[in-house]
Amino acid sequence: MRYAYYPGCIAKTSGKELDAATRIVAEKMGIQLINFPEFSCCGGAVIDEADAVLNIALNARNLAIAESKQLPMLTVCSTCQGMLSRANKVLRENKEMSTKIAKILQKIGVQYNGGTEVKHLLQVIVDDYSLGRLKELVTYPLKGLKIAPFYGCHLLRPADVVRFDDPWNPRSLEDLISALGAEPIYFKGRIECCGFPLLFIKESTANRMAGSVLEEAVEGGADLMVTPCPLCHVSLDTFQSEAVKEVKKSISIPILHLPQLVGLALGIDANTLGLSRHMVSVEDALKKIKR
Amino acid sequence: MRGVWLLEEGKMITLNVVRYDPEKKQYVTSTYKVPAKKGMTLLDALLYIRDNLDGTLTVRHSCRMGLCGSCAVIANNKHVLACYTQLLDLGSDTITVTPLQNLPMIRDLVPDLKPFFERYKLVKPYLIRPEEDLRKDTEFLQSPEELSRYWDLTLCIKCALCYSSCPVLKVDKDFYGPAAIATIHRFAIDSRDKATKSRVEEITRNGLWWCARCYLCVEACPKFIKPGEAITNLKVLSCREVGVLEKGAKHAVAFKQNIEKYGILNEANLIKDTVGIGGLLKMLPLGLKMAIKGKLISPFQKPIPKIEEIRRIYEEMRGT
Repeated sequence: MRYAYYPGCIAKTSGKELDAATRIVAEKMGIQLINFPEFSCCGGAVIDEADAVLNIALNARNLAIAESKQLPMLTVCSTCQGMLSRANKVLRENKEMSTKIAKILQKIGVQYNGGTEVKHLLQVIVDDYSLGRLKELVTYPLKGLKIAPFYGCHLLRPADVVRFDDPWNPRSLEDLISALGAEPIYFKGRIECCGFPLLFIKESTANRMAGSVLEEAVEGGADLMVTPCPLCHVSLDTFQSEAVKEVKKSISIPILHLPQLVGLALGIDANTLGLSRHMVSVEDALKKIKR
Repeated sequence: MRGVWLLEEGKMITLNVVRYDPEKKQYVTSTYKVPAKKGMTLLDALLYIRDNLDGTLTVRHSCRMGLCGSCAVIANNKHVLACYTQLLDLGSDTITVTPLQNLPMIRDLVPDLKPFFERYKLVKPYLIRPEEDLRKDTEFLQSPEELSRYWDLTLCIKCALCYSSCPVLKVDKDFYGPAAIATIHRFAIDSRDKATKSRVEEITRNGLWWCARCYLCVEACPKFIKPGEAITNLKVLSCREVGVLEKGAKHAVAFKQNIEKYGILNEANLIKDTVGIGGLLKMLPLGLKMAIKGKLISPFQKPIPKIEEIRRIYEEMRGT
């Protein structure tokens, strides 16, 4: 299993622990990640608000880089997954747009023929690798842990763009949590928005959105939350203190990146997975794992 | 798609109906068993309950054909029109039906749509032309191509499903919501309308950029209008028509410039460009905690390899 690894911006900057955890977990699973440092940002669901065509051109270049090596792409961010899938869909289905983009890419000697598949790590684990195989690798089942799954918008929606899980009743994260020996907790906000896009635009609203998600997860009895999106991680972990202040609650819940949770069950130690880099301590939650 | 399966015909289906009790001001759940038949809609099932099992169940409905938008509910977490949803397509023999969210309640499954329509009125959902144009006898003609630009958006039936699904509205009642903002886009791109600039400027100042682009409204819309996409298109129009009036546009433009410089995002520079030095100072206490965890990033960053390719793409875009 070989993939063109697309870490996205956060995993290379403030969320380096996500990159580290992804690499070590992939290695354990025998998934080969090929690096392309020349990949550019996916647009973050922001650039296209200023210039939609430019955003597609940037991602066409990213897709072309993977296509030239005949590799599918592996993302570790719900937003990267959404933006790259969106560009891929437009380039495959909209002749007028793909011709326009081809002309732009020609200037830098790049060509994209629509041949790259883009998959999030969660999708790779569930669909390509299979949870049955993953279970065989679990040496440290997360028994006794109650975990709230939080998907991140762009991994689920629009469903005709990402074509992965059910947009209203997804279960891939729940299935993964069960496969790792832990218990998934249901809460309504699991498919909603963490507020990240508004963090620097309308801070109080962003924090209330994150606060509402955190509150519902804690009320549902979760010991910790897991997310396949590093942007959600910023708003739910880095800004958790602001979020709970905004909803006037004194709650606290650790937030794990997806490969960190997998890594724990594969017996990788917490420090190697970068758990100490989180704002909310994971220690107490990990003590709940029954040996 | 996972987990979609059809029930056998003639099965008994359990419906848990979450009902609002206006006297007690709380929700209670009533459970009913309904014989499901092929072709039966969720509305049929609710009316079967009302007519045969519990005459007190209050359901709002009218056209029974997905046109009036009266029977919007949430069924097994999915935002749907009850009359437009085949019972057997819900793929479960237990269905939980709850009323719409983000709205005050009247009774049982019936919300009060007043706040939804109040916001809708604010966006002036009609063509605006100068007075003298209206006095002329001539029609306002438009080509089929011009019509096709906004046609989809005219299909909105004001069912408020998008309004109910919106997580921004859940916590911020100042937000206009998906349907109203998408309607602004519908008129702003109508070649017959002469108020594009003022429409765009008004909504830019009143929460256009508060849409978080979660696309829940896109999934919720029974007419496949994609309100969230219309709002994104309106943001593009806003950047072009009125420039960087407030933080959202500043953020989008700064993001775009950042990628031209470095190829990947430098969060430090982006935040500074969006909220300014004053905003950064306000974040100082949190920033210190982030620094301890090694989460603070330097504004000095090396561009990605082959950055000249990115810059050339930008250059080409400026030329088009």
